[in-house]
Amino acid sequence: MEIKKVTCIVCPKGCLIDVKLEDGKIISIENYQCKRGIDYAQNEVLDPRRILTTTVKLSTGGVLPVRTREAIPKKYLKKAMLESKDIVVKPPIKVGDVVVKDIAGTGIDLIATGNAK
Amino acid sequence: MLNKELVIIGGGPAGLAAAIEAKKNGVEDILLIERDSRLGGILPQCIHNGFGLHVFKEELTGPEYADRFIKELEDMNIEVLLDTMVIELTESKQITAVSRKRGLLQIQAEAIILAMGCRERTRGAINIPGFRPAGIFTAGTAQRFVNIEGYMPGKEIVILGSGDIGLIMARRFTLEGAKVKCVAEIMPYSNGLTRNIVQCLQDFDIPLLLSHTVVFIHGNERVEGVTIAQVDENFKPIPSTEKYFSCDTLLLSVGLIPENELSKMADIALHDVTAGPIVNQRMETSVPGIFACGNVVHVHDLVDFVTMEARLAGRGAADYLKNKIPSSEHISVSAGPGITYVVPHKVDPEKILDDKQNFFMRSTKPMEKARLFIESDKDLIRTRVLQHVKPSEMINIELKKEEKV
Repeated sequence: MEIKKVTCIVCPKGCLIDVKLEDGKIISIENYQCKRGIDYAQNEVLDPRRILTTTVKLSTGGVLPVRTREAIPKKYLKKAMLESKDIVVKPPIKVGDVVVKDIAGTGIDLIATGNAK
Repeated sequence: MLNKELVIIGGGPAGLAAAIEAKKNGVEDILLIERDSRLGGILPQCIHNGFGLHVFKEELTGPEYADRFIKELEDMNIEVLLDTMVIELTESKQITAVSRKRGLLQIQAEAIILAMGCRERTRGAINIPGFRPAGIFTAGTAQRFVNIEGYMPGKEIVILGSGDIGLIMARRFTLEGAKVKCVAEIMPYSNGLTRNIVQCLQDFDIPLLLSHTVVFIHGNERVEGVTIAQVDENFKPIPSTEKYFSCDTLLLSVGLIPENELSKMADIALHDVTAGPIVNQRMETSVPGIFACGNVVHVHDLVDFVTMEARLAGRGAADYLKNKIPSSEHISVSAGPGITYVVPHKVDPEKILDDKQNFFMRSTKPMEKARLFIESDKDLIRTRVLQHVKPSEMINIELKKEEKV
C-alpha cells in the first residue's frame, strides 16, 4: 500500500489529505475537512489539472491576459505555453472571448480575461 | 472649490466596492479619484486565478474580478477621475488633487473613504549588502513588466521572500521559460498561502529554502549572482553556510506597507502593528466621517476580504451621511497572546451594522488545533478551535450582536 500526501488547494486552509493507494487504485481518502477536498485529492492523485493563466501579444502592442476556461492536465501546461507564444490577438476583445480554441489538444479553450479596445 | 458628498481615494478593489456599496445605500453624489490611468488597482496585473471564491463563489483571475466591479461602477454612473493624484488631505475633509488634464483641484467632502492600498518593501527596507547593479526588482514591479508591458526582466532568477507575489512570479517566470533557482525565506515557515506553495513551487520543483536569506549581491553593471546563507533563530546568518547562486535577476517579495501619507496629514490615528488607521465597527477612523478599507488599513491575503471590508466602509459612510451621529461609546478590541492584531480595533456595539460584526486577525506563528478565546473584561464570549493557522492566512471571525457582553 502507498500513501500519497496531497496539500489541498481548493481554499486557503490547505488541508494535508492522505490518499491510500493499492495497485494505482484509491482505497481510501483521509484527513479531509470538506467534500471539495475529497474531489481535489482524488483528481490530484489520478489526473492532476491546473488552470493555465498567461498572456498573449496584442497587435496594437502590449499583452492581453488569458486563461484556460477550465483546468487542463498538468502535463500539458508547457505545450499550451509554447502554443500561445506565437499568438497575436487583434482588438477589440473583451473578457470571456475565445482566443485559442482547443489549446494543446486538451479540448479546452483559451479565453481572454481582460479587455482591449 | 468643488463640493462632494462622498469622495473615495483609490480605485482598486477596496475603492470600487466601497463606491458601489455607498451608492446602493443611498449616497448620490460620489467621486472616486484614481492616480493610475485605469481602475482596478493591482488586480489587472494579477493574471493568475484564485480570486472571488468567497464573494462570487467561483474562481476568477485578477482582471476578471476587477472587471465585474468596474462594469457595475460604470452602470451606476459613479463619477471617476483617472490620472489624478491626491496630494493633500485635511482633518476638515478638504482634498487637494492634481492631474495633467485638470491641473489643481480642491474638493470639500462631507465624508471620505481612504482606499489607497499598500506598496512593496524594497531592498532599502531590508538592507542587503553588496553592489547596486541593475536586475533587482520587487516582485510586483516584475509582475507589471511581464503581465502588463510584456517584458521579461531576466532569465535566471533568485527570489527573496516567500510572500504570495513572489511565489506567483516564480511560476510565471518558469512558464515563460526563465529558470527560477530558488526562493529564500528568512522565517522558518513560508509567508505565502499554502495553495501558492503547492501550485507555484512544488509543481515546478522550485526549492524553497526556509531560514535562509541573501547576504550579498554580486555584480557591477548587472546582477551576476547572490550569496545565500542559513540564519539562526535570531535571523543572524550562520557562518560557513553561505552558498553562491549565479543569477541575472533578484526578485524581492519581502512584505507590503500600507500607504498612509494622506492619513497622517489628516491627523488620523494609526495602529502600531498594522501601520494603518485605527478603525471602528463601520471602518471609521479616528476622524469622524473619514473611513478606510482594504490594504491601507491592514495588508490582506485575499481580495475577497478586501471587498467585504470595503462594503462595510461604504455602508458606514452612507450611514454617517444620513445620520451624522458619530460612534461614541467604544469598546476597545485588543490582541491577546498568539495574535498579532485584530481589525476593527474598537467597536460601538449599539451601532453595529446588520447585527453582526466580522473580526479579522492574524496569528503570531503557525499552529495546529489552536484555541481562540474571545473575551470581554467580564466574561468569555466564545471559544473556537482553528485546525490550522499561519500568519500568512488571515482569520475571519463573525460575532452576532447578541454575543456582546
